[in-house]
Amino acid sequence: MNDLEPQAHGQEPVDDDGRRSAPAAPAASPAGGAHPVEFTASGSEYFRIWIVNLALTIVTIGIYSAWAKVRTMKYFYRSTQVAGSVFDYHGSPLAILRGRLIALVLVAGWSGLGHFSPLVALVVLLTIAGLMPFLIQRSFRFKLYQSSYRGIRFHFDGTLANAYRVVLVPIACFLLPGALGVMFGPEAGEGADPSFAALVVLASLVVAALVPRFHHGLKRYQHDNAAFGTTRSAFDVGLRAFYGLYGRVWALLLGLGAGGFVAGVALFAFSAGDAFSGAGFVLVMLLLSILFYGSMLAVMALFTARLQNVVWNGTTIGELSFRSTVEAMPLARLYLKNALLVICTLGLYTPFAVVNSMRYRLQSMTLLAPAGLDAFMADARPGEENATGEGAVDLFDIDIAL
Amino acid sequence: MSDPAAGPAFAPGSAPVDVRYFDGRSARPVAALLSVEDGIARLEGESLSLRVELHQLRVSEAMARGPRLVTLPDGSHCEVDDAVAFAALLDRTGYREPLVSRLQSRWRNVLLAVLAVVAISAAGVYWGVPAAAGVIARQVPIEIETSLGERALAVLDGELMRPSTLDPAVRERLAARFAAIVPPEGRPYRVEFRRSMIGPNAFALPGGTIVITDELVEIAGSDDAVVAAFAHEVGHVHHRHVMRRLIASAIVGSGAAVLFGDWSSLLAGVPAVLIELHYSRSMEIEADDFARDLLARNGIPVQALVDMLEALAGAGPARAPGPSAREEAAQAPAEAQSPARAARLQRYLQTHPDMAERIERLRAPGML
Repeated sequence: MNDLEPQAHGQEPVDDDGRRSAPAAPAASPAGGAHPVEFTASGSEYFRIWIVNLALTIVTIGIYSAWAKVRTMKYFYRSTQVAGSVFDYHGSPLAILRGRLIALVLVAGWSGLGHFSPLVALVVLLTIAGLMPFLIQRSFRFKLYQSSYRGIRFHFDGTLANAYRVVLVPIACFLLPGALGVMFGPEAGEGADPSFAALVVLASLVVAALVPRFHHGLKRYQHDNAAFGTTRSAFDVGLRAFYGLYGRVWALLLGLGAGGFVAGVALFAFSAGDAFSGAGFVLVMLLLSILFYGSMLAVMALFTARLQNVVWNGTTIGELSFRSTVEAMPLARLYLKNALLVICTLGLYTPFAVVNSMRYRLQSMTLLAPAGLDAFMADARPGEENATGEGAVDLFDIDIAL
Repeated sequence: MSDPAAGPAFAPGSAPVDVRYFDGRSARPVAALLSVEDGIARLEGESLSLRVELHQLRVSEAMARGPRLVTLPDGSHCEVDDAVAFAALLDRTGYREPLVSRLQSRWRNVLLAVLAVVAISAAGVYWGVPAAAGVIARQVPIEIETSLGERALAVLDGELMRPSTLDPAVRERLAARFAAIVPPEGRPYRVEFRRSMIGPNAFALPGGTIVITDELVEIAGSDDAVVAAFAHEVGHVHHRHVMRRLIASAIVGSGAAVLFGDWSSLLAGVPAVLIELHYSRSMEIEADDFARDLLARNGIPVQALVDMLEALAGAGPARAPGPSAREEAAQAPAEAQSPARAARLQRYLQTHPDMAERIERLRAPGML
């Protein structure tokens, strides 16, 4: 569930509690203070945008999708208010379309050629993995440069070398256990070698233990290298916070797993012999899968909530800082409600679900601007227009937004 | 595609609107008044006096809440909070909202869009995807299919199947019967016998390899019944069902991801699975029809296929001969431990309604 979070997430300076009713002359703006983020999008309004986008995208065999993306981004950015002003998005549909076409070629190459020979598949996979850091860096740059607040553009200054450091090492580590299995594992038909299986499990555990470190590296790369105009951002979150976050999530997963196992055994025992016949079986399976999906939603909510808090509470832009207070339980309830309604409406509830989870997460944020917002200056730079990275990262569905 | 140029202006003096102006260099808002006269927009505020031709301005789409943005040619912009006064101003200049924005502002059009999406998706699922998969499958060179099939067979041999233990004489007799049947168009096929852990079964792999399990031969009442199962699998080979299924599931999967993926990739899988079940059923029917033709042409009673299906339906942990060897195989090992339970379970889940329907179809007086 990647809920299309405000990819504005670049830097969400936010504030003001949107009193836009009064045409009162907007006095040269107020002094410092705390400005809660306000999100004014509504589900029914986004529904219209979404369905018309979808229809036009289908009718144009996908070409309109780039325009659809820009319209969606503009809608969400312009619905995000801080200190009485909104964000704006400037991406050009043509740049995004070009990015998507290139990405499509890459994906087609991967899935097409991949079917034919394992060797070709490996080469294509390695090529894409090698390009990924570059694409991610370009995507960050494009996304931030196309975002503005009060007429000031955001920037991203992360270097390519650092992109390779924070992206390529994790990719290599994730591929490692699988590669071990393919290269040294027993041939199909041979019996499984227990010591080898243990080795693969061990390698997987080591990689899992490194995940918080990788994630921390990526977030630092993202939040330490951004700028609002001429003002650089900084990321002051220790590795420990990420291990704490993942520790909680893993503990919850383990607990739910154990609980699920007990529940399963109990259900089957309870329904005794009937468990495997007709209605009894269907009922038990239904209960178990509801339990499973419910648990997944809870884990997802916990992870999303904690991550947003950890990351944003540790990010600053000059004197600006953020306070994020997302709570896991309300978010989990929201996810559950959304999941049920999306299923019941065969997907038509999707835009409402997107808006309400975005609203909860954005409105849990406050911008702290002790010296006010007026002093920020734009950094005039030549255009950073290339959307290839953005298109590609979109298509490969890497959710690095959070 | 939003933000088109404002339309031509003819406005007589119009009431000015309060705005916040941002010059694009500093984040400091400047309070200003926006007015329009003779096709010229004027911005007046403290130490600010700008005149811009109306057609050079870009206006953001109206939203229910939140300020509208007016962008000047130099990239600077105004935020306009007073929606009512601004709408009146725009109206007097003859401004028209962009086409898409006008489209989506009426519920009738939104409803039309919903209907269009539903109708096009349904048509795509029923006709578009199968047709496209058929066309693409025909383009796939036989070498690729063959190599796919060989890899699948190697995996199956490693995990779920052992060399056949049938009497070689039986195998030879059956092979001779198979060879005697002449399929209409010469797509190559090859028959393999295997002892299996998946019970009585027969399936076709990409590239035309047909696997028949020893158990199937053992439960078949006659050689004719085995030949009927074989004819059914030749139907799958003839129609390139495996490749078509692979391609169709790729198309459906990416389509579902586009529709629902931005919210939940978990849910995106559900429609894909249902749709694939539908395709798989229609392929079984197609293969049955092919088998009926082929049997009739070779003077074998269609009853042989009915017998085979009935034997399979009664045989427990088995399924109709189908193309999806891998999925079926994947479920099998766990069930080996408690065969009786598993048999009931699987019969309940898969075989019955589908199988009964197929048998009914074959019994009905067909047009041969």
